[in-house]
Amino acid sequence: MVRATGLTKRFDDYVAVDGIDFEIRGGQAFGFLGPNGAGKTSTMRMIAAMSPVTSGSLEVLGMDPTTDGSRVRARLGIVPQEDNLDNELSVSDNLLFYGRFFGLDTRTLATRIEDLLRFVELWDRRDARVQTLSGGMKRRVVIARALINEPEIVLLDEPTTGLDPQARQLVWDRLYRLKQRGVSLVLTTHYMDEAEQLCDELVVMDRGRIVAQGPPRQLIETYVTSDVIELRFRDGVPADTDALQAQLAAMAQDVEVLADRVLLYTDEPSRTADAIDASGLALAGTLTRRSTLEDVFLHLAGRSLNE
Amino acid sequence: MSTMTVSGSLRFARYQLELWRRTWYGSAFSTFVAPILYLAGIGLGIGQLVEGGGAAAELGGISYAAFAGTGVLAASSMQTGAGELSWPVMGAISFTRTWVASTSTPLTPADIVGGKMIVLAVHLTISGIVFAVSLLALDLVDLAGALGVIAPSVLVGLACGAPMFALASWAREVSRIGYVFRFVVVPLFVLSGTFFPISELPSAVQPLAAVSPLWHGIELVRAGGLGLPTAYPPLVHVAVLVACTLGGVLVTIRALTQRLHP
Repeated sequence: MVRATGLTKRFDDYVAVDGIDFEIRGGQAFGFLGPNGAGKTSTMRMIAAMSPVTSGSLEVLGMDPTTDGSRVRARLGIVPQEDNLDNELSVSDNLLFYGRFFGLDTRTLATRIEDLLRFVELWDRRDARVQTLSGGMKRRVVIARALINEPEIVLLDEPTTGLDPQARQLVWDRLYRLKQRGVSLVLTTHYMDEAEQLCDELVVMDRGRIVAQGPPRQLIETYVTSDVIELRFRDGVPADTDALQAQLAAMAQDVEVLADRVLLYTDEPSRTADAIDASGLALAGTLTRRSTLEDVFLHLAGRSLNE
Repeated sequence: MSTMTVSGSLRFARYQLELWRRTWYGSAFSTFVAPILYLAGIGLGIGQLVEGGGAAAELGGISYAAFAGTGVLAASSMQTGAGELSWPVMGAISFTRTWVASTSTPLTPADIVGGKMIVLAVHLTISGIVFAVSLLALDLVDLAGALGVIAPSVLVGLACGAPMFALASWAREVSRIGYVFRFVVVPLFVLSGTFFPISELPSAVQPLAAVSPLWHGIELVRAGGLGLPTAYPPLVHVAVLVACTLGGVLVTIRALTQRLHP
């Protein structure tokens, strides 16, 4: 459905996307994971035919988004990072006017608006002005609005950033249902749990480039160990990190020293835990957990996703 | 630069007109009542004073109230054009970001430009009619004159609105629009022949007035409403206003495409 080769986006001297290749197949939930400034949004905007490609090639639904912008957008659903709803209008009027931009008639729209507002659980708020809604509700209106043209691909740029956990869960649930209906989802996120929950396929981006690509579980298996033990020290991480690293290296496959804690990557967590106990380190506490995409990113980029 | 389509422009215009229909009372005072108060206060009040001094001969044999009234009509069209296509444009691009949403549909940034110009033309026509009826009611123009002022007043509004649209699409700081109102729009209002013929201005300033779209508009409004002769052949004045409109529209399409689809 989407194919990019050597895709590049430059703003004057700044290279936002630096020659990336990827392919998104139908019915997939495809994610772009990376920290702020990684080039995720720029990539999404090019796919959305809302930003011309600087160089390389990009094909969306068999068309070139730079020359066929209107026809491409007619078949996409776009959920931007910010809630750019018309605050003065009611919830249903936001969908109505937006739907008319696609050339849909009022009767078709009336049916779709009811279906969509029921889908995002806002039918009883249909006459409320948008500005009276909570952040989570606005997000759901934006998602419903993006579905008004029955798109083949829905692009979601950080769909749950800024939402509380409950609101996020509801958005995730709706996106999951959309995926089950066969709608392709393309999303960007800097939340690893979002990527793990929703995405079949992921690309990890950093500084405009793709640093890894694959299904979330496979990325974890490829790049990091099954488990991580986090160490917190009573008096903070020792200043002599080289010595610390040398001491810990024998206990685990990999050691990552962060500002506030040390991560030990291991496929044998109990053996590593025993070695730590025997080491006599002045620890405030330890935590053993499964490896996540955050660890993959840390391993690949040398820094955490939220830095 | 994006491409403008008739259907896209009309869809956007319809949306904007429906928005306006729901909120028109907010702008009713500035659009309809304020110009008429101006007309009554300046035209009739000052007119009484001026006419005592025998101004009619200077003004080509017409009353000062009729002279200033037609000038105020053109100036208020300028205000409507510049007002509608300044702050609201910046708001929709940068603050509410609603135009980003509008162009994530088949609509292009150029369709927004087309739609906004259609809506402005509709507003200018409505306010032009209201103003013409007031001029008629005050006996400042006859029926033919009342009909004759409407088209030129629409044209001057478009010609002043389009360059402002370009500026508002390009500018990233709100203060720039304030500067243009303070240092361009307000001086034009005073110096373009609204209240007195530009021949009364110091000769050094006169050429400045002649490059103002408002002055060209006023010439056409007075010709249409009062039958006064124009400074240049009417087609020249029309051409200047059309050029301002088209030039403004083209620059706006370029700037807005850059802003909405960077």
